[in-house]
Amino acid sequence: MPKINGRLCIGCGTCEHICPTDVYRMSEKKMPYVAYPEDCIAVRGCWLCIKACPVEAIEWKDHTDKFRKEFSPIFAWEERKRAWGLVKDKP
Amino acid sequence: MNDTIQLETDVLVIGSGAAGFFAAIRAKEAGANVLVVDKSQSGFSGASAHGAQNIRIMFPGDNLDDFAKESIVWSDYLADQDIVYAVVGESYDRFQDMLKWGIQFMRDERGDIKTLLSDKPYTTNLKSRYIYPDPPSRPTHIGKMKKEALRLGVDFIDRVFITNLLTDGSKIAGAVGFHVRNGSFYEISAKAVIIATGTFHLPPTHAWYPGPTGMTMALRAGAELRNMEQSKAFNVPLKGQITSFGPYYFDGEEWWGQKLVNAKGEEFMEKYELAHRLPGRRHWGPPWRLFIPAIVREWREGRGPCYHDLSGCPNYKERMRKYYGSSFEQFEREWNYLAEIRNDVPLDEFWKRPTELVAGGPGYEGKGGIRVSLNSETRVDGLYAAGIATDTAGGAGYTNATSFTACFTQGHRAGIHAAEYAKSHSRPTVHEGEASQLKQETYSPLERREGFQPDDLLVKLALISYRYTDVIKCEERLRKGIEEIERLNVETASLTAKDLHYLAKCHDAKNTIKLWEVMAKTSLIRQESRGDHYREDYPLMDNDNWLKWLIVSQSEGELRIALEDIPFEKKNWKHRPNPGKVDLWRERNA
Repeated sequence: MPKINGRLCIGCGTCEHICPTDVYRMSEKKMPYVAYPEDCIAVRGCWLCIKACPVEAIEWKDHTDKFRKEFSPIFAWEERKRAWGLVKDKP
Repeated sequence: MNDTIQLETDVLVIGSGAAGFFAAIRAKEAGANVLVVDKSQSGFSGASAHGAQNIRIMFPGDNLDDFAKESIVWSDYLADQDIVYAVVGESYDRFQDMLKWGIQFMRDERGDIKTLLSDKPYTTNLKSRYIYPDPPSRPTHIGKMKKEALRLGVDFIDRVFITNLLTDGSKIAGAVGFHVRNGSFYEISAKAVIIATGTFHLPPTHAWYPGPTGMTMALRAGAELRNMEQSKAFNVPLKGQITSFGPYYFDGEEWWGQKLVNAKGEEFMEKYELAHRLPGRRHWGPPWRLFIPAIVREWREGRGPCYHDLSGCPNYKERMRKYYGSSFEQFEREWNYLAEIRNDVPLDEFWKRPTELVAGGPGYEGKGGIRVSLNSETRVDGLYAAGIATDTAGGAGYTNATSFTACFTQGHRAGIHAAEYAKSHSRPTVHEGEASQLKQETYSPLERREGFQPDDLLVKLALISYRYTDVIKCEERLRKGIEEIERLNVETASLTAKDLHYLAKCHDAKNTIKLWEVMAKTSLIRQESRGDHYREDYPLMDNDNWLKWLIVSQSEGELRIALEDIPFEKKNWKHRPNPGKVDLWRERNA
């Protein structure tokens, strides 16, 4: 998930303005924060906020991906392999 | 209670991707008042902003019949040939429009537009031309379209999620929705409405595949859906990889040396007759859909897993650098950045070892969607649809262009005809009762203290889809899947949202589940394999009995699925399949 470097952020709101999945909100102090990390699609190649930030304050320092694992191709493939009888269920 | 904002326009465009912008620009040029509403931020949202890497254009001097045939045969003859001819035939004009609006495309050393061979010439050895926006896969081109729309005076409202269409008898009357940040209810009266909401996906807030709501609200308003059993096409991502790298990377002219091998090291695709390598070129000619049954068969016969093997291509990185041109550095940086986060291999290591092929990723846009006429009209007066919210060029789907071409041409036609319709019709009546009832329904998940979270239902749906209803289908699994989806459908009545962001997700979840029900039910009916629909129990393509469209409609909440003969008897339809049954992946020397 994206992490905003508070020391660099100037609170311009660009990230909040453009995010296609609407994960940012502005705090009472008019600073952006990640309100809905599970909907961030950056790990799928979005990167809009990171590129648009005028002071390069958004980084990927937080190595947690909040995206539900059930939506990943690997998870799907393991499920399908079992459903189609390609592999046996673990006893 | 949330306040209501009432607006009036001639033409309402829902969604601001390529189709929506083309529609809005053309309707405005034709003299209509135009309002574009997007659930996200126009100019940055939608599949067009992220996904448009290549665009298929027919250049002057190219052969229209060849181009059209490629798409029609690719669709296994499901395509509406009138629409395919229009999409292909008008593609160059739309390309010129984009140049006029200042959109940049990649150029070669001489400064000419760079065109590449199709990666999937199927029926002919046609030089099927792709052009590439510059920079690729960035919303720059969409931004330029917005600039043009703004210059013409198109109005925009962002962050408003349209939930329902309004009707006045058999006519469209507008749409309603809510602001995902401030919660205001929008009641928009419109003479004509254009749905350009894109296709649907799991999870639905995925920005590339933006919304199921366009299709379901059209269905509720009386429009038809077509080819929904074809709604999801599945590619073959590489296990552990970030991107679903195609197993047949090439630079347009030359095969790069990669192989698809089974656990025994055999090039397993070689044995299938349709999995041809084209004359003089050594990359794969078959559609994606042939890979998955083949991979599954290798597994069933004890030769799984299958791999993508790049060891025969030592200078892969150099080739990639050439292929990506100026954007290679960025590509490599992003790859390595993500690799670090995901504990994955950096690009330099990627081709040094085989990577497992995953049969069936999350699924991308297929051939299903709102049924439209040549002029992008639906069955409801004043309701139009364009782009991948429709059945993409009448069922040609992904192939016809990479869908993007269909977005331009259908958006263009929808804009012109919607403006014309708006000019010749009086303002329909918005029925107060209907609007206020929809308002109540729209916000109801916010009032529910207990119930299901949208993401939880979508995870359940994903599991049902993987286990029973997608990629490799059969009657037994489909019946089980339908039963489970119907149960899930009941649970959508108890969706709960803690705020407006989750309210939007509730609507997306409900509508996604509905469309999955439609997909499973139509898949059960089509007892053959065709296009992206593969039935393990009916593996042959049956041209004697199944040259039919499955048409989905809804009346009084009940889904109806009808069969309709594909009109090959039309005089101007040039391409007809041979009768009989076709084994899509028959063995070469069987």
